[in-house]
Amino acid sequence: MVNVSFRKVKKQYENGFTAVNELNLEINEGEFLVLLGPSGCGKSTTLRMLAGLEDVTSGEISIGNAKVNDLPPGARGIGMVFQSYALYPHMSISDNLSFGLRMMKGEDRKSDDEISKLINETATMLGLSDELEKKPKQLSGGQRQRVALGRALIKRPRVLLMDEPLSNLDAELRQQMRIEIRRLHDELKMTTVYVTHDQIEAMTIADRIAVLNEGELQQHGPPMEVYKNPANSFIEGFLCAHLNEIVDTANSLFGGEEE
Amino acid sequence: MKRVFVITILSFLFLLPIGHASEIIGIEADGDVGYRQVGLIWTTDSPTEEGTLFEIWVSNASIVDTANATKHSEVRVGNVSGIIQPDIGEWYDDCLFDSGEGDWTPVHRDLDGTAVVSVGAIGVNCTLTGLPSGIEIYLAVKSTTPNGESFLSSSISSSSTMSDEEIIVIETSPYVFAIGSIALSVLILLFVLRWMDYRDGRTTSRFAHLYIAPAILALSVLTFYPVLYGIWLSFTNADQSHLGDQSFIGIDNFITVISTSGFFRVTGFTLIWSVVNVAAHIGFGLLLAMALNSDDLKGKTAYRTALLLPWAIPSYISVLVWRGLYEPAGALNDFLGTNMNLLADANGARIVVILVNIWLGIPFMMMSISGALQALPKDMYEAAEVDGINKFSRFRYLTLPNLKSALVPLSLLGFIWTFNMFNVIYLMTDGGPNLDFDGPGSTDILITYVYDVAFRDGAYGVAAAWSVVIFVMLVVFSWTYMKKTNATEAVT
Amino acid sequence: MISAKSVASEPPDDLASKWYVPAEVDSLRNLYPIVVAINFVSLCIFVLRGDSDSIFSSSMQMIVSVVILMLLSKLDQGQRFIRDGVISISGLALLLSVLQFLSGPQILIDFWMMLWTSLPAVLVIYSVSKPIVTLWASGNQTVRSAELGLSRNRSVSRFHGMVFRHVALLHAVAFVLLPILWIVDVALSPGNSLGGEFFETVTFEHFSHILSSESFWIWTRNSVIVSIGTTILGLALAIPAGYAFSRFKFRGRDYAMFSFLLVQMFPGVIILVPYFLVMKALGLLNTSLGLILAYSVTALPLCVWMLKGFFDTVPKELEEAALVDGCNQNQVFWRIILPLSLPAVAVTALFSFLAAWNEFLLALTFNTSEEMYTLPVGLASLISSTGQAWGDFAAASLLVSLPVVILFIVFQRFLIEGLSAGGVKG
Repeated sequence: MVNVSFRKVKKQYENGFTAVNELNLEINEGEFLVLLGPSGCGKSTTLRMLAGLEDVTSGEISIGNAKVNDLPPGARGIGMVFQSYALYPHMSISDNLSFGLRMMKGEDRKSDDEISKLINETATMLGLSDELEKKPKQLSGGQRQRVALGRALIKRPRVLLMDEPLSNLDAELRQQMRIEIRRLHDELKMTTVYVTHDQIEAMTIADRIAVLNEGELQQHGPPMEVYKNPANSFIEGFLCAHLNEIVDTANSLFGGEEE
Repeated sequence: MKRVFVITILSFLFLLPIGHASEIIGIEADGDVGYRQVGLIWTTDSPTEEGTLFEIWVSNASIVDTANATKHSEVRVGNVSGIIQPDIGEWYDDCLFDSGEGDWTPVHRDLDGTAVVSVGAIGVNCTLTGLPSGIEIYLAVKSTTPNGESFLSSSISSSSTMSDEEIIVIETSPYVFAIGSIALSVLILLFVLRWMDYRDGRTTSRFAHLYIAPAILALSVLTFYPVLYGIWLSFTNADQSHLGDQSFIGIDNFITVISTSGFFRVTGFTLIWSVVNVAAHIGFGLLLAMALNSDDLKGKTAYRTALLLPWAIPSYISVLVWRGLYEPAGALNDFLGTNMNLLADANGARIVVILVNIWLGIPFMMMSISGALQALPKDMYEAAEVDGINKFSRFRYLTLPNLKSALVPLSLLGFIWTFNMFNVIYLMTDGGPNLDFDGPGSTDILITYVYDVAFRDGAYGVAAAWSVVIFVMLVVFSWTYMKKTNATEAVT
Repeated sequence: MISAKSVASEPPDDLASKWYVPAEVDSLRNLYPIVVAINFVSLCIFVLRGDSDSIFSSSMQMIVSVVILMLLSKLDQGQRFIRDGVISISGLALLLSVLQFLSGPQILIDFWMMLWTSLPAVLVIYSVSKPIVTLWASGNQTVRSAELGLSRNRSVSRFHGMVFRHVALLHAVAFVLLPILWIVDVALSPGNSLGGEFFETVTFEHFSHILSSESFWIWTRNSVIVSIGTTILGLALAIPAGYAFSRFKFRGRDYAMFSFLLVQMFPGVIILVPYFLVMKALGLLNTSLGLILAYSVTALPLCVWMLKGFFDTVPKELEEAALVDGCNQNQVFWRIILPLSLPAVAVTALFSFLAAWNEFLLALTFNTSEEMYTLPVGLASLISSTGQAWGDFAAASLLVSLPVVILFIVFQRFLIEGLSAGGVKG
């Protein structure tokens, strides 16, 4: 269990565009933090910097008490779920899950028995036991999503990163997976950073949400607190007004019948 | 090359102490002996000595020295005991010699196929083959004694008058009849199909059959008909003298093909040639495609354009240019600081033709693989990075397996093309060195040998049989290859 | 179920030191196998030269490179001793390489070989003796210095990767350009000499000779007639067929399309002999018409597939709109589809033109009289049993290939796309 911290983190691209500006954020051990914001607000860039897939222009990112700015992604002890799942198309599900473990070298390398035990554990946990020999193409969207999650979890990462993991699923599956992800987090208690643009998703899944806009952190805190005490007009428009509108719509649809 | 070298050294050692060059006193040429052939007779002033070498030089201008001429062949004077003496008609360049007693006997042939006449011969009569017909050519003979004295005869001009049109006139009507009936039946077929569409009430495609009719007609008459005709030819005795009146002879031609001396050698070399070439094309193509596959590479367009040149330049030109580079006086020796005559040595020539074809084929594979590389999902590599997979393993376990679906058809296509790559071999070596009579040369591949059988020997039936054999080989190979690669795909 | 215990929880302070390997060392480890391979190539060249001294020194060189490679793979934190060893042995390699160069003939290739032996050695000495690598190798680095090292590794290894790419591509370009430069040199040199210094004396005598020779113009005329004839006939056959395959469902469509694919699979050789005999019987040998017929049919399947691919991209709604407006099917084709796909038709035309312009085998077989030679056969006849007119050949080659190469390069994107549409799918 580790904490994650961003200190004055800045990301500027070569063309001068600043994606993330002076981000200061602490994520506690075992916390489920959601980065929320409209598209292009820098939330995915923040996550990718934490993963090591993007360079940090300035500032410091640490996991635990080690600065990780320049560590290769594989050295950071993270697991990541991609929006497009990014499964290895030519490998079976069991190979997809275990590829990272099998490719390890040196003292960290687990024995084949341990690996197959881990595969089975993970598959059982995610309900994939019957699909292990299939290829990703043969699975449904929801199942692929589970495989992506399993691949991130099988290494027992210190931090779990999720980049809009549910956006490619239909509404019903999304609901179901949201509950499942939260359940897994409560079970494994690993520090989790979750990126989404969906306000409802953020409100229902997070311990704490951090709202970004145009590369700046607007506000962070437990969901209801942010909702009740919006720090500025952006939050009010993006989060509060949006949620209120949904509630109003629901009321106007169903309110009449109940009365 | 080594063997030639050793032989030269040995002959020098043996023959150092002897005599003067025989002067050539009479030289005559006759252009009427056969298709693309010229008869050449020369006599010497004195009986020739052991070790004398006659070189026959050919040029399109009068020969005053050999710098502007090409060597056609050689005749050696030496010990003839124990080496073969083929009858007239059994070898290229039939040669007879006059041993001094006024009788003409066929020359002997040593292991390289060089003509050998016995010591004391005073005249040689050769039928030179492979000369262009219809133009004036100049011939001269140069004699060299073992101690290096040489004498060049005056040059004599002649032209090979026989061109193949004059040999036989074929009856045209059966061909016209065959083509006509094929065309007619295709038209009727299209008409019937059109009528059936009409009956079924498909009106939107009213003109479809009309639109495809010209292409289908052309294809049937100019491709399918010749293919079928070729298959039929392979069972007949068609040759230069039997055309139009050829008759069915069963599988004799196929027996001739299988029993050709060197059948397995030429097939083997064709396989080596194709496999090595395709492997190199794909290997280097992949390497270059990956080197080019970077967004922030400076000068990418310039590199790509330069690397495309071997594809853009007409292949016959590239091949001839490479041949010039490999000539003993060519730039390659200058460049490497060596002194080789690769084209004169069987294995050297094999390596050379393969190298040239590798040069020709890389750009196509590079571009095709480039396209396939760009289609690979990028996020897959990011996932692997998070998984801690190093660069080499990413290539080995992600890039290669995912390229497989592109590489399998590409390699098959490349194999078929290379298998039938006529230009490189024909223009670089023409199958040589060491052209045996009645068999493929050292660098012949199947297709160049078929060309020789058909258009040098005029054995059309046998050539057609070779073509059928090649086609069957390709079909069997392609089928097994597809099956094998699909099978492994299902397993992984 | 996974218990919380199995999750890693050790203090991760030393991560940086654990993962840090200077990018220089990594790059040298990747470089040295290539150096050894090039040492081997040099050794082969010396063997071909038969120069026994150089063979010996080159073998030594190779052994030294292998030793450096092995030491580099052993180099690690706290291995100060190996670091010193690598540097001194690289010094030896440098010395050997310079000595070898000085004792050789010092032509261009020797210079190249020297670069490939001395430059890596210099790089080893320079980068392994850098303070940051020394610190790493002696095992005295702090977490802070490892972190710094990691942060510079990114840019350093990116830079090294780029240099690697450029070196590899430059070698490939040199290999491609070697024969091209040489033929330019031959074309511009007097006489028919094949060797000698590049661009020693420049003369245009071969160009003027070839341009004033009658046969060159005859070949060009034949080639132009055949290529243009092929293009026109090929398009006339391919455009309607491509359109029909793209737009209509009709009886026999699948069989017809399959037959076009099948023809592409046939190796040309199987038709060569019967083709020749049919042409002979019809009296089409030594005519332009014979070649035009043969070429337009051999290029036909690919052209049809290319055009079908292009027609497929023209939206069907356009056609339907025209039909609603009262055009009939023929008018739709001539007035809507054809003008829209003119660029595609142009590319297909270029493709069949180039194919006919460059074809050698059929031209060689069918048109044997010199009057009817096309450029490929004519040019090849300059280098044949009766003459070695390398200078004229070189000049003519440049004249013939230059326009073709320019066309190819300008339209490369379209040609390659078209070819992959027709070739690889089929």
